[in-house]
Amino acid sequence: MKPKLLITMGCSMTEGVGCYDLNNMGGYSQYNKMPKPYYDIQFKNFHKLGWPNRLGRKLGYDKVINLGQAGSSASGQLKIFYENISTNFFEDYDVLVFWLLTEPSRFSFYINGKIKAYTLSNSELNKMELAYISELNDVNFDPLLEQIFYVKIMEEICQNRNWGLLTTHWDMYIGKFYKELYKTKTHLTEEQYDILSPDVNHKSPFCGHPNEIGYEYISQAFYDKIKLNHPQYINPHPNQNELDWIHMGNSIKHKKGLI
Amino acid sequence: MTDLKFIIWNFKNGGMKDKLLITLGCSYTEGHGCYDFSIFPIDKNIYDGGIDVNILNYQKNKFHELGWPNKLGKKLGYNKVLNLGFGGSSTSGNLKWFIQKYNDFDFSKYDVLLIWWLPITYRFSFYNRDLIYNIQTPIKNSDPADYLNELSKSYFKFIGDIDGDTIREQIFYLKLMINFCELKNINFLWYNHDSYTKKYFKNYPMKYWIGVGDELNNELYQVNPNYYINKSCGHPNENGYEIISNYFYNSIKLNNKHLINDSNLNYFEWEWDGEPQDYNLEL
Repeated sequence: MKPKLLITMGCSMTEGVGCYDLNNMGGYSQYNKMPKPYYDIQFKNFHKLGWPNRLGRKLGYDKVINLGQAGSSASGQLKIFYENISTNFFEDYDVLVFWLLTEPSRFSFYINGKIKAYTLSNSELNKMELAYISELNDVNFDPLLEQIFYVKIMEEICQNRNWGLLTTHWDMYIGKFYKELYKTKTHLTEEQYDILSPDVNHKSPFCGHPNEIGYEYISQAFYDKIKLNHPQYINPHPNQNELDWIHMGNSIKHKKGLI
Repeated sequence: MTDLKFIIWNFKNGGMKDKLLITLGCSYTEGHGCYDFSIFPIDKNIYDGGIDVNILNYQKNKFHELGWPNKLGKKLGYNKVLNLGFGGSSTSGNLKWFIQKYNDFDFSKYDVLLIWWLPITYRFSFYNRDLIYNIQTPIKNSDPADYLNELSKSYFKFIGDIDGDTIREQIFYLKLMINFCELKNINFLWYNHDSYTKKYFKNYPMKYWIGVGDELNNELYQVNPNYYINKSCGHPNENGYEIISNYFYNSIKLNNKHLINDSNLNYFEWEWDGEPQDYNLEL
């Protein structure tokens, strides 16, 4: 039997933002305000303690590659996938890709050789984001069509490689709409459920993302839904060793003239 | 061809599948430039406005009929050409339309060759009003309207390396298409005629390059532009598209001979389906 590999894609919710190391905050309250040494410590914590590794262990998998990147869009997440691991078909593994979809209105472009994300949920929008809003007829529907396009592409990629794929949304409202628009076997659940815990103690007081308990709640629900709807992805011979994991969610900075 | 005719023809041909050529791209693939000037002023083009809709549709039908896709399809000995070229479209817009319309199409009854003439890299796309909306960055050969579009102006302002960054986008979408074609057992080739992309070619998936380089541009635009190019819009005319199809055919013959059908054709048909339609989702 081949070892099992879980590849996770998504935004900050997949990167694990919210699992702060409270002993190394440096007097700052949010990761994106911290100077580098503290920032790096926090991100190591995020990557270690988010839902991907927790789900990997519950599924009995051997390895987790987490491609989550805070603030990223569906197109950006697919670009990260292509940049970082697309040339590796992982033929020695049984692979499951789990894509926790983000706000569909985010978009991405290569800017100065790096994938840049644009998001419409910031309190201060830049000119590009404002222009996108002004062009859009429907900020809910049209961006979802974009997202569905990228999901379809990812489905083809996974099918081509004989990998499993599951997708769901972290936003309850958007997730419902997404599932009405697009019927596919890769949905984690037929009906959208709220993946976030209603318990305020499950959230980081600094940024509102789930904390360690919140990500444990999420991963347990993911596991339960997989067991119910996609039991073929549970390892019948769970890995007894320590989980091998790596975060590879950062965009490569391409040199000018090189891809 | 009706199903019954197909079954009989298929039987007679020892189970050989029909050959389908799918072409994807922008105005060069749609066939812009092949005007019937017997009913159209020689110094005008369809972008000038104020053109009767019947004449407009007639000229567009001429584009679709006389562009390089049908010429190449016949040379290759293919039964059917499905031309998805659309004027003004972007690389991402091409792929979106193809996936939207043909993701679930059953390609298995055909031997398929898909040729993608990649659009200029400076265009990008979004869904807007349920439609794929292509946007041109106001940089080279732009329509004045592009300078008024806030999104294209902002993009141009934000982008740091206009060639490199937009080429990275193009390569990303090209790789997605290659994945699709590999999965569906579709033969795939791409072509790019924009000279500024050449220095980046080492980053393109050259395995699928059609194999035609600057020599085609030289012939079209340097050797005899009066014969090959329609001055009213700058696109090739019918002679230009003929030479384009010759270059493509000769390169395929040299590098991918297995893609040429030597059997006799019992029929040839073509269809243009380049204009993106509403998503038409059932809610």
